[in-house]
Amino acid sequence: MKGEAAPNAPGAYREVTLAAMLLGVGQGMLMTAAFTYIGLKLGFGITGSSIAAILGFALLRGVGRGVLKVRGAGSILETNINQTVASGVNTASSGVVFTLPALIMLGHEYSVWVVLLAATAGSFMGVILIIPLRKQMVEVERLRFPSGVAVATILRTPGAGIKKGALLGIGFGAALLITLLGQLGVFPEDIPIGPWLASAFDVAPEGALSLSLLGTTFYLSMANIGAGMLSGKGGIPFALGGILAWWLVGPIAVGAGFTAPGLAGDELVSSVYGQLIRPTGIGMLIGGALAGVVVSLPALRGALRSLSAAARASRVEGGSSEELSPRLLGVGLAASVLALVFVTWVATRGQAMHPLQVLGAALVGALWIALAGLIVAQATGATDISPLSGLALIAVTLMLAVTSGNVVLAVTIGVAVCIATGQCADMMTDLKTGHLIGAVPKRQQLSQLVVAWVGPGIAIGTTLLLWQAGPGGTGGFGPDSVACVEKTADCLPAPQAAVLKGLIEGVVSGTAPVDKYLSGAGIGAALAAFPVGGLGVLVGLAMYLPFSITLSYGFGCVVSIVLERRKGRRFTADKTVPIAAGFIVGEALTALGYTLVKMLGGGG
Amino acid sequence: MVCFILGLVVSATYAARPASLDAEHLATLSSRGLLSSWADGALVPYLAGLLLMVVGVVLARWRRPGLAARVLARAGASSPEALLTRIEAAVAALDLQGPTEVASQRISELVEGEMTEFVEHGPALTERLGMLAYSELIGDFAVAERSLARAWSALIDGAHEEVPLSVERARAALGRVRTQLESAQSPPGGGPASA
Repeated sequence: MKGEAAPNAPGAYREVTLAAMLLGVGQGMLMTAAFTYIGLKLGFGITGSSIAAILGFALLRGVGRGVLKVRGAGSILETNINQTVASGVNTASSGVVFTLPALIMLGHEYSVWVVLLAATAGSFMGVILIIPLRKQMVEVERLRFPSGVAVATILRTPGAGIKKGALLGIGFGAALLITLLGQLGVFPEDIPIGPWLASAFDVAPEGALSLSLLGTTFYLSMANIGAGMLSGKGGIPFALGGILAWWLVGPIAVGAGFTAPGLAGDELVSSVYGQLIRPTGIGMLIGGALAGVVVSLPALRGALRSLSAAARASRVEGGSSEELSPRLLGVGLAASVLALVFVTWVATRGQAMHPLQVLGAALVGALWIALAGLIVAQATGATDISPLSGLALIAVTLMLAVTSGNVVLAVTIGVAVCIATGQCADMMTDLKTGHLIGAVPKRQQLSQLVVAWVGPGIAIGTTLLLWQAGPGGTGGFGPDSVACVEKTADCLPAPQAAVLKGLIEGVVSGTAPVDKYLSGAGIGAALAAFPVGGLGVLVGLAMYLPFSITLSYGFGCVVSIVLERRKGRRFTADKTVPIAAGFIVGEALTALGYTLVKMLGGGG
Repeated sequence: MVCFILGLVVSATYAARPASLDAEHLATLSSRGLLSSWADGALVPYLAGLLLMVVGVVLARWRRPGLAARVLARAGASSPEALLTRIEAAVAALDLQGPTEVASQRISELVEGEMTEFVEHGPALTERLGMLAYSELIGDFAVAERSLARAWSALIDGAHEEVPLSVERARAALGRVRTQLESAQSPPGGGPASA
C-alpha cells in the first residue's frame, strides 16, 4: 500500500468533534464506575460499545441535530468516535476489578500512586501495541470481531433500510426475552443436555462416558450464539476445540486413570476441568500466540512496512496518513515501558534486587503485556471472548517467579497487563467497526489514545471507595467481608479477585501447574503451524473455557453455515448479520439493565 | 489431517496428565519437581503425539499449493481478475447525482457481494503472490472497501461533498490492486502471463 492521504480535511464531514469526545468521556466515566461495581458484585466485565453507540445516537443525533439544530450532528462516523472514546475509557474497569482487589484483600502495603501509574502505563501500552496489528488482523486475516460487527450494524441502522432495522429489533427482542427469563430463573443458564441423557440412560456417575455427558451443557446465551453466527465457518475450530477437550481428551484421561480414584459426578467434571483441561488450555494459548507471531512474520513485516511507507509519504507529500505514525507509537511505547521500569523500581526498593534484575522484571512485564494483548485481540477477533482474567493470572505468576515472590509488584504488573489487554481487544474491535462504516483509523486511534488515562483513575478510585465503605473504613468487599459473611444485600464478593488471591497464595507456596503450561505451549505452537490461521489460540481458548460456552458458540456457527449454504451469501448479509447483532446487543443491555434494577431495588 | 488430529489427541491427553497420580505426592512437588515428575510419566507419548502433529502440518503444507484455488474453482467462483473488473465497473457506474437510496443500495450490494467474494480468494492469492505481496494488495483493497463504506455513510448522513471524494479514493485504490495483480502475473522481462 502506498502512502494514503486521509480522506478529507477535518470538518467537512463530522467525525472527530468536541461533542463526540466530551460525551464519550462522560459516558465512559459513568460506565467505568458502574461496571467496576458490577464487576465486584458479579465477577464479569461489560463492554460499553453498544450502549455508547445507542446513547450517542440519541444525544448527538437526537439532541444535537434535532433540538439544537447543529447541521450534520450525530453522523454515523461521529457517533462511532463517541463509542470509541466511551468504550476506551470504561474498558479499564474489568482490568482493575479482576486484579487490584486481590492486593487490597491480601493486606499488603502498597502505594496507590504506583498502582495508578502502572495502570495508566498499561492502558497506553495496550492501545499503542495493538495499532500496528490493525492491518494484519482486520485486513489480512479478516478476523470477524462479532461485537465490532454488531456495533457497526447499530451505527448503520439509519440507512440500512426498514427490513434490516426490523431484523435487528427482532434479534434484540428475542435476546431480551430469553435473557430476562433466564435471569428470573424460569430456565437455567446452562441447559444440562448431557446430564439429562446420563439420567435417562442411567449412566453411572463415574468413568469416561459420565464425564463426557455431565460436561455437556448448553450455555443459553443469545450473545454467545450471535457471536457464533457472525463468525460462521471461521469459528468452527473454536467449537472443535471444545469437542476435543470434552469428548476426547477428558474421557481418555479419565479412562487412563489420570484422575483421583472415587471421583464422580460434578466433582469429576470440575476436577478434570480445573486440574487437567484448563491449565493445558492456558499453555496452548501462550504457545499458540507465540508461534502465531512467528508464522505471521512476513505479513506483519508487510503491515509495518506499509505503516512506515504511509508515514513517509504523508511527510513528503504534506498529506495526512490513515494511520498513526510509527514514530509517535514508538515514543509512546518507550514512555510506557519507562513507567513500568519506574513502577518495578519503586515496588522492589526494599528487596535488595540488582538494577539489572529490576530492569529485567519490568521488561518481562512489558513483553507479557505485548503477548497477552496479541492473544486477547486474536481471541476477541475470532470468537468475541477475551480471556482477560486468565492472562492476568499468568502475569501475576510470571512476575512472582521473576521477582522472587514480590506480591505487590506482581499484582501491580497484573493490573497493567489486565488493563492493557482490555484496551487491545477494545481498540481492535472499534477499528473493525470503523472499517465497516468507513472511519479513518488514525482518528479512532488518536481518540482512544487521548483518553486512555481517564479510565484507570476512575476504576481504581471506585474500588478504593467501595473498600472504604466497609465497617471502620475498610473491608468493603471480598468473600470474607462482613456483608458477605452475614449475607446482606450489600455484599460485594469480588469473585475474580478472590480467585487471583487464592492463586497468589498457591504460587507463593509453589503449586502453579507449570508442567501443563509448558506441555500445552508445545501443542499450541504445533497448532499454530497448521495452515489454518490462529488455530493454536482458538483451540487453547476452547480448552480454557467451560464446554457450555464453546458448544453454544459452535451452535451459532453451524446455524450460520447451514443458512448460508441453503440461502446464499446475500441472506447472511441481509438477515443473519442484523439478527445476530440484535442478539449480542439485546443480551448486553438486558443483563445490564436487569442487574442495575436489581441492585437499586436492594435485591442484589 | 488424520495424522494431525491423532497427534493432537495423544499429545493433549498426555499434556493434561497430572505430574503424579498420587494426589498427596502431587501436593508436595515444587515447580521443578512437577516438571520432572510429569516428564517421567508422560514425556514419551506426549512427544510421539507432537511428532504426529508436525508430520500432519508438513503434509498439509505440502498438499496446500493450489488447493485453495481448486476449491474456489470447483465452487464456480469467478477469478480475482474478473471480480476486480466487475467491481471497478460498478464503482465507475455509481450514479452519485441520482437518488441516495439507489446509490447507497448499490454500494451495499457491492461491498457485501463482489468485494466479499474477492476477499475469499485470499488463501489462493497468498499462494500465488506470497504473503508479503498479498498483504500489500489486500491493504489497498481494504482502502477501497473502507472508502466505499465511507461514501455509504456520507450518503446516509447527507454529507454530499464527501461522497465523490470517497468514491474517487476507492477507484484509485482498486487501480493499485489491479496493478499489483497484473505485475504478479507478468514474469520479469515482460513475457507472457504465467498464472
